[in-house]
Amino acid sequence: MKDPQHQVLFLDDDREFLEALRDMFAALSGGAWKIHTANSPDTAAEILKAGEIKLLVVDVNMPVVDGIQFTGMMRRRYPALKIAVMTSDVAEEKRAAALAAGAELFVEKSHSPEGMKAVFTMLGELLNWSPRDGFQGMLRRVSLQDVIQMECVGRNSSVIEICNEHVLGRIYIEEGQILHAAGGELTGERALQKLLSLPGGSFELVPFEPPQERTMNAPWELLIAEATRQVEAGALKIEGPEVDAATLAPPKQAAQQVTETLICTGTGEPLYDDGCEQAQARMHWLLAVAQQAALLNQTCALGHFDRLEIQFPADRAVAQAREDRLVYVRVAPAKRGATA
Amino acid sequence: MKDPVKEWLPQRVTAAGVLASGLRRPNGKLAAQCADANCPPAAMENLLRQLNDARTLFATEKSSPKWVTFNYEHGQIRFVTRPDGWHFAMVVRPETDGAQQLDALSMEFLSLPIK
Repeated sequence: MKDPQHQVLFLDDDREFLEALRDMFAALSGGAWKIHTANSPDTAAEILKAGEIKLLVVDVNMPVVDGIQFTGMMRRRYPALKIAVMTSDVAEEKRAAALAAGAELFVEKSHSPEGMKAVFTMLGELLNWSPRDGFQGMLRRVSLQDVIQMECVGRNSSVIEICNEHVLGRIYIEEGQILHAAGGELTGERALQKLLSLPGGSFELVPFEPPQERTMNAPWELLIAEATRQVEAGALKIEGPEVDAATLAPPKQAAQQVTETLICTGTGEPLYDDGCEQAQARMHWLLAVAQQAALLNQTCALGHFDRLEIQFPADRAVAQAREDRLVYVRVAPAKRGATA
Repeated sequence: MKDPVKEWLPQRVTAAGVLASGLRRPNGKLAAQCADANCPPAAMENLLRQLNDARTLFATEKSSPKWVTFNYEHGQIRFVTRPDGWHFAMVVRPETDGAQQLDALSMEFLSLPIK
């Protein structure tokens, strides 16, 4: 039976490249990919609204909104969308920025047939990849206990990072021995028990690094058995504040979420709009901000205007009004339990 | 009787990098102090008037801002508004002690006990 058709969207400001890529990938996929192309972010955003696209492939260097910015926007808007960044500029900082923005794959753009075949293969693997097949899993599919046991039986060394909306934690395993666990404000066996009692969340295996301290010396079988007993006895209740992923300390400030974004060209042509109820009015407001900034600058000569920051009682906004672009972003504290 | 708000300005807004600062009373009277020749008291008072006139630009249907900050290449203008009609403005050079104190001084101004 033929695989269902994958819908793939390529965003690149180079129309000729897009046409060549469409022809080549359509042929290579044998009709298994339905290929969409867009040469501007707003066109791509429109296509994505239909909810049919499984994989978005984005160029980095584009005018106004670059591919990394667009990746971040789309990652927040479509958490399940697979995103690859394809670029001729494969500098390490670009790769790191793309992955940090939410891309699953960073790949070099090629103009040779052989190179494009290699890109096609990588994109195909990404299309068929699912978290269950890789290093990342959901607790409801594969239990955390199963993974710990596999690591210990296999005498592996790794760190398991666990998170859900209430707690972030780490379990350190070296050559099959559980050395240390930390979760919320707990460490050692209590942390291990707490993490194993989580009703849901996600975990990820990352390369081993030595913990700052060793808090467990008992054989892993005993540790797991005791944790299981505690969980079954209902002795552990999950509560407490969210914690910082790096330090496991309470966060210094609440997480933020973008509630409104509008990006226009300098002449007011909308390029991207997310959550902006009255884009036209907002665009006129941005122009008024630019006029006001110029007026103030006549009184105190302070150089080029960059941006206006507005601190409301409950949230804040940033408005940028330059000759080549108008940008408005409003950010609010994330609601507890909401996804980023 | 001494004016606690007028005293606050010279006592608290003294950090390096502050070019000028000023207060506007609810009745429209202004008080300004300046530390830079490029931003004399008259300019600061003019700035306060302009910012007061532009207040509707910053407000939304649902809320008025606690403060706004215009960021320029060589300086920042902070404008703080109190619900009782008092306004406070500062002009600072970026990346100076004055710039770092913007939020703290704004919060302080908002909580000043003014009758």
